[in-house]
Amino acid sequence: MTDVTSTMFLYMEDALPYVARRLFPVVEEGSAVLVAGTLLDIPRRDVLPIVRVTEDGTAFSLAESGNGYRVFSGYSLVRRILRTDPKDWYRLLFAPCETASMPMRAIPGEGLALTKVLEAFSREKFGWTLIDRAGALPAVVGLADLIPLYRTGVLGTELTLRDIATPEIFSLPGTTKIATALLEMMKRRVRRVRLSNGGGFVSDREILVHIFSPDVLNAVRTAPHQLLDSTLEEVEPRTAIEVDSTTTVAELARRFLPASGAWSAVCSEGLITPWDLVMKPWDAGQLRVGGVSGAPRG
Amino acid sequence: MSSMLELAADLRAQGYSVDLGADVTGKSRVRHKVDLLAKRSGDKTVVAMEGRPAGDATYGIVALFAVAYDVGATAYYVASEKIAGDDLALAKSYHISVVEPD
Repeated sequence: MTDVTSTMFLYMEDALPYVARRLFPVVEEGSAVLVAGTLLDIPRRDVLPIVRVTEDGTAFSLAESGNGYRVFSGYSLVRRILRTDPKDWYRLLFAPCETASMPMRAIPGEGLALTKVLEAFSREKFGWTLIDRAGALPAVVGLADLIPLYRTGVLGTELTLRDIATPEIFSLPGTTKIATALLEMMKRRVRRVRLSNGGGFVSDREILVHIFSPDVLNAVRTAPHQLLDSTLEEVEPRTAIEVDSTTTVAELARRFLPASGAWSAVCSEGLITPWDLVMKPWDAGQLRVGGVSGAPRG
Repeated sequence: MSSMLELAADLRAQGYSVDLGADVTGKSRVRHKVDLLAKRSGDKTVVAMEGRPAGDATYGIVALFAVAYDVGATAYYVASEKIAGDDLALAKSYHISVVEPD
């Protein structure tokens, strides 16, 4: 494939024209946590912006702090569950989704440089952000949108996997209760845990899918405190792609599956996640954006 | 007659007392609004919701599941138009009966 590196692709509207136009799912204010938490995975999404529907139309719900928009994400949901007394977990499922939301600022969309999106990811530490659109609800853009840009040459780097892999892979025995695993994952700000008996990886999102499954919910109806009682090995662990550490980042990016929220790879140097593919080269000043080396920072 | 009215008539014929447009309180103590609530002594409560537009059916089915789960009820999703195969599969996984137009 011919690379199409050009400074014109420095801008979101050129590099990812469909992002500004596409419809994306939202959840209405007042929807139950159980509903919003289930919708996060049909199909898997990074985030569901919360909207207020009135006679005048649909608008994003504003955070009470005045600190941006309210969004419902896997992170905000896990945080709310962990901060709730286990005896109240059942009632939490039916609380308005705003109670398990987080505020997120949108970045101005007009003339938006791709580098500003990368800066937002780097600042917020989430693999997605909101972009304001004139006359429309803000758009959501995530790592899954950016990684395919390696394929077209809009993004580029000379780095290999040994440069970006995380050598210390957070591991726990498969018999660990998911309550313990989630607490550790939040503390360490990691989204995946490897089962130490070689049983694959479990991410926070697989855990959410598990606890929102009809089987677990049926058990929770009579014993709410058992919501996080399953063990990691009961949460369908996923296998990471095995790759050589000399593989280039761009090569591995071509094997990225956007539809799989569980995607990850391992090499002899450690674990590679979607975040690593884009943000580690960016943070190291080694990411070419739109064919421009040493992309502008700040 | 609309599909919801047909369902109501069918349930009444089976001995259910039926309310169209009702509130029902679940185990969570949250009060849910449903389009149909049917009760019969010794049987599970039945709840039904009017289907949302086709593009929004996933939301409607998940919302109905949440209500049925909280109330411990049998659920019917009454669609006014054909719904996608994925949504039918979703409803099936939640043991929700889908009433579609002929």
